[in-house]
Formats: sequence, structure tokens, C-alpha cells
Amino acid sequence: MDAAVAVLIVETESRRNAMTVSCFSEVAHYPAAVWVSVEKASFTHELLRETNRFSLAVLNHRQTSIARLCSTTSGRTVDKCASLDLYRSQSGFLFVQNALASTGAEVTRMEDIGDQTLFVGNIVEAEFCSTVSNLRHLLVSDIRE
Amino acid sequence: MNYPGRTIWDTRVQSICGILTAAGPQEVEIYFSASFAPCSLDPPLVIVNPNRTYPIEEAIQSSGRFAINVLAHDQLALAVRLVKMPRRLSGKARLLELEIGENGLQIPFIKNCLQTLFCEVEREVPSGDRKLLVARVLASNSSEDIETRQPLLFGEVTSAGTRFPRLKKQIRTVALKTGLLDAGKSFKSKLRPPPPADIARTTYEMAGSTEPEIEQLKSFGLKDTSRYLTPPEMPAIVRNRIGVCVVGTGWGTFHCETIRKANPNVRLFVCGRDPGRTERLANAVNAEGFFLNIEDAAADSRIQALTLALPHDVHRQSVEIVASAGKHALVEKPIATTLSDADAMIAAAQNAGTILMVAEDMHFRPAIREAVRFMSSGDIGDPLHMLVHGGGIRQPTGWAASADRMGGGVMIDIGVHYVRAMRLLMGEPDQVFATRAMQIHTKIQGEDSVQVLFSSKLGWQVHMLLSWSTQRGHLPDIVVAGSLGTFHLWPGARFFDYYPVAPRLVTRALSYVRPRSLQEKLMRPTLQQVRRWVKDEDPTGYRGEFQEFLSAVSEDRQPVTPPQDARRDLEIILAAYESIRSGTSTAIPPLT
Repeated sequence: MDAAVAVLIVETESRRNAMTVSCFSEVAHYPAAVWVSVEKASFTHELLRETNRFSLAVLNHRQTSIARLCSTTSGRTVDKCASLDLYRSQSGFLFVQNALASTGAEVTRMEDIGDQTLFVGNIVEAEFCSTVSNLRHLLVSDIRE
Repeated sequence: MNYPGRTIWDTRVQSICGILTAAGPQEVEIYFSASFAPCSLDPPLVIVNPNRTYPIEEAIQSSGRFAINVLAHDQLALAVRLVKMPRRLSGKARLLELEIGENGLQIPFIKNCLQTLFCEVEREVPSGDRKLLVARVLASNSSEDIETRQPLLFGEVTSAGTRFPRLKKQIRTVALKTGLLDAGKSFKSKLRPPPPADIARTTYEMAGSTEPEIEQLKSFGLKDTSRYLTPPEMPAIVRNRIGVCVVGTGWGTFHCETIRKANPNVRLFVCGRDPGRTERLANAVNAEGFFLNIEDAAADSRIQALTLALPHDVHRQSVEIVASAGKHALVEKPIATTLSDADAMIAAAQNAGTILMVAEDMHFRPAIREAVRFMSSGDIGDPLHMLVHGGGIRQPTGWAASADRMGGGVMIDIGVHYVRAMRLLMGEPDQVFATRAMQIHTKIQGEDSVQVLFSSKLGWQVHMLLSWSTQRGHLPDIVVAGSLGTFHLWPGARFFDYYPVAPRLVTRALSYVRPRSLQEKLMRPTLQQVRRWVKDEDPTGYRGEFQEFLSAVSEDRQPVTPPQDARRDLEIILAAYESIRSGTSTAIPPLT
């Protein structure tokens, strides 16, 4: 199944990482929340367990390079965030410049689903970029091509 | 330029669109979703979060299985129509003309979608006003052209609901590239500074629900199953040379005129008790002959059908005579004055194998048909109220002044029309409370003014003011109000008016006018009026009812509205009379 692509950014006091994800969506409208599914073995999973906060930047279809960058190398050895055009939001989340939208969330629930963990987070803050608002989502099928 | 997100939709986490399908207790439930996504590839798991106030959730819960039908870009119109449909509307799949299939797993799915995933729920994760359903993908199939068809994205659906979407998109693109959009937003925020962004609160206010709110919504039922009558399309004119005799020389005059319009080639006869009057009518309508009693008319071999414009209390006797002669009958409303008479009439026609139709113009009133169509499209949201103001100044004489012969007063004579309108527009009521005003026309035995309040356990109400003693003035006879808009239906008009709740462009523009005193002078409710024209030649429905009857006779088929519909109208009216007698709210027998 095709799906939209986003970059999941997690930052602790000493470490940070950005990871390409396609397993995310909305949870509820009360409270306004999103979910993201992360592989247990990943570096991002480790950081998420530590900080309980994450940013989710939904990419536009011209941002395949960002998706590729954040999916091919491990954050344990390389600081992928350094290669991204990031900015800090009012609530201190790292958001991606020119993404369709970036959302900051605080984890309220974790569910074990086999080799993945489902993180449910209440939305704290979001920003969207007007200059790319007419562009469509980056899809998994775009990266495959 | 970056802007703060104000709602969950600004996060853009809703992306690929699809329709969830699951087998419900009555029909296949369908639900638009843009928030499903894979959550694991091995094992293949997906997550969906259907709205708990839609029937899809219970359907998934009961069967444990559902399908995600991924929509393609070319299915945008389908998605827009589904999104607009009222939450509790029954028969959505049928109204959308979806081709529903069922695979070997007994999971219903929509054919011709980009991809279909057949899923089984493995786990539920309660999460506020939604429930995350983690489901295993049991099987999937893809359309042959999946490589060339693009999936439908949520942004396309939300922007397509407006008029001229392509033009708007082009204007928006130009405004974006030239910086006009940002300048405009900046100007607007200076004019009316927005409050600080609060996604949680704004999303809740727009679409969220607390547990008590969900319970409140669910208490009125997740599905509106009360509307089972469907207004038909205008029947075609049939030009067969059939013989029709109009019985009754009062309202029968109108029958003659309407029959001529409904079928110009009809062989017309008339029947009445008064020889002079009957002959005059026969000459006036260019009839081929006339009769002075119904038995002779029914026995005449030139006549295939009779229309009966007679006192209400002789409907049964007349229909039985017509049926026993093997002829078809169109009888005026109400079908009878008692349910036992109505049952006997239906049985007589059934036993004789003839057609019995009750003349009810509301069933064929084009504005009602169009209003129902727009209601199904979601134009007025959840229907809540229907107001009726019917009757007009009239002081019946002769048999019509007798409560026994009429079956009552204005409530049975006029109310029965609006009961049909209620059933077409709103559905079947459960309770009725009726009360009479002071009698003005004391020379008629039946009531001349009455107010009737119908209610449904599904949460809608209908208020009828029926009077022969007061003048309606320039008012619609039917108003249907819903959560998103209101329809005004005017008697005999080739249009009806729509008042959307959402401000129209002019109204929005005027909201910026200052000083407020000037704005108040300029702002009028009619600025919200959208006049919708009805194309049919006859806006009343009278011709439609005759065309349908003559078509049914010509084609030897049952009419689209069987006599049982009219029996039900009478049953509801009789419950209203019982309410007047008892002075309390009366339960209406459930439809069987």
C-alpha cells in the first residue's frame, strides 16, 4: 500500500536523529493526537523511549532527497539532522524547513506491536509552509521510482 | 512563510484517501477515511481510526473484519460526495452507485478501486474520541492499472468541495508564487488579529467529542433508518388510447383536466349522480360519454380504469365495485376514513388482480424529490425540523362538512398530504401530539385549525399548522431545517430555496463592513438564499400522480406508490386524532 512519507525527528539532551517514516497518521480529534510506528531496533526508537517527544515533518513530493538521506544511513554514526534545513519551533521542537507541515507531539501511549512500537502523541504544536502548500505529499511510490 | 497550524488538518498527516467497508446488520457500511496507514510490514499490519459516531465502527466491531478500498485520483467526485453525505444516512453505497463485491473472506469491498486490503482486527487501542484499530492484512488486490493511476490525496478532496476548484487552484498558485497570498494573509491578520494557535482546543471545537458528547450523539441512533419512501422521478407521458372514467363531478373536473394533460390520447368518460351536471361536465371536457352510476361505468368495456373523486366515506364501496368489475382504480386521498376500510380496499384490488392507487400529489411533487436528493447529498446536514403551514381559507360544505363522512376536518383532508411529505423528507415518526385551536367555522363538524407535533426517536421533529381559518400569506408551505442549511418549499413553485448555514461570499464580505450599523442595514437573510430551479413542467405533482397511474395501467404493473403507503398515512393521521381525544402524546404504531 502506498503511503505518505515524513521525517521523524527525535532529540534528547545529548543526541538527535532524523528518520524517514511512512507508518504514521492521525489518532483522534479529542485529544488531537498522531501516531507513528517505529522499529524497535532503530536508534530513533531508543531516543523516543528516552525523551517522549517527537517532531513529524510531512514531506512534499520535491523532498525525495531528504527522505533518502534519512532512510539510508544510521543516526548512530552520522548526525543526519546536521544535513537538514531545520529550525526550532516555539515549543522547542525541531521542524523541517519547506516541509508541507511539521508537528510536535508528546508521547502519551506506547503499544507493542511485534517488532515495532506504536507511539501515540498529543499534538503540542504544528507549523505549515505556505510556499509549498500547493504541492502534494511525497509518497513511498515516489521514492521507489 | 511558516504559519502556525490551528487544527489537526494543518499537520497534513491525513494523506491517501480510501473508503472503509464492512458488513453491517442491515447493509454494507461505508466510511471515508484519510487516516489509515501501514504500521508494520512483517507481519503486514495497518491502523484505521473510524469515527465512533458512524455506523462503520459497530459494523467492524461485530464482524471483526473490514476492507480498505484505496481511492484513485480519478475517484475524486465519489470521495467528495461521500464526505458530504449526512453521518446517519442509510443506503450510502446505493446512492453512490458503488459496485460492491465480496471476497472469499466474506468482506465486502468496492470494485474498481486502486487497491483493496482485506483486514482483520487484531487489537483495539482506545485513544480519546477515536479508537485505533490495529488490523492484520489478510489479503489484498490491486487494479491492473495501479502503476499509472495516482492515489487520491486528502488535500484534493477538501479543496474540491468548493465551486470552480481548478480555477481556484490556479489563482492560489499564482498568489503563492507572487507572494500575494502571504501579503493577503498578513493584511487579514492585521485587520482581524487571530487568537494564538491552540490545535487541541480548535480541533476539539471543530470536530472532537468528549465521552459524554459521543454518548449523546449515539443516543439518537447511529443510523437513520426511518426514511423508507423514495420520491420517484417524473413518470413519462403515456400515449396509449386507454379508456378512463372520472367518477365525481366536483373535484372530478380537475381530474378530467389533469388526465387530458397526462395523456392527450386518453378516451375520457365521466360519471356522476346529477344528470345535468354530469352531461355538462362531459361536454366541457369533450368526453366520449357519461354514466349516472359507477356500476355502469365499471362494466363498460371501453373503460379500463376509473378515477374516484368522491366523498371519503364511499371510497371503500366504490373501490370494491371497480375491483369486482376487474377495472383499475385511482382513488382520492385519504384512502379511507378507517383502517379497516383501507384494508378491505387493498384486499379487493389484490383479489381482483387490479391496480389500486391513491392520488397523493406530494409523492410526485418535484420540489420534494429534489429536496430529498439534495438532503442525501448532505446539503442541510442532519435534518432536524420540518415546519408545515398548510390549508388556507376554506369552509367546506355538504358531505365535507360532516365529520363522519370526511373522517375529521382539516387534519385528515390536508394533513394527510403533509404526512406523506414528512415521510418522504424526514421519515417515519414515532410519536404525535395534536391540539386544536378555537373553532371558527362552526358550521363544519370537523376541526378547522390544528397543530400537530411529530417526533422521531432518531431526533427529528415535524410541526404542522393546518388551518382552514387562517391565511398563510407569503410563506413556504414546507420548511426543512438541518444542521447545515434550510430548504423552503413553496406550493406550486418551480423552485425551492436553500439557505446554507455557512456564510456565502456576499455575507462574508459584508461581515467586514464598518460601522456595524451600516453592516446591519445591508445584511439580510435573503443574501444567503440560493434558488434552485426544478425543471419539471408540472410543479404541483398532480400531473405526475395521474401520469404514474395511467402508465401503470398501460404497462400492467403496480404503481410506484402502492396503496399501503396511503394506508400508513391514514394510520399516522388517526394517531394524531387519538392524541386530540386523549390530550396526550400518542405512540404511532411501528411500520410493519
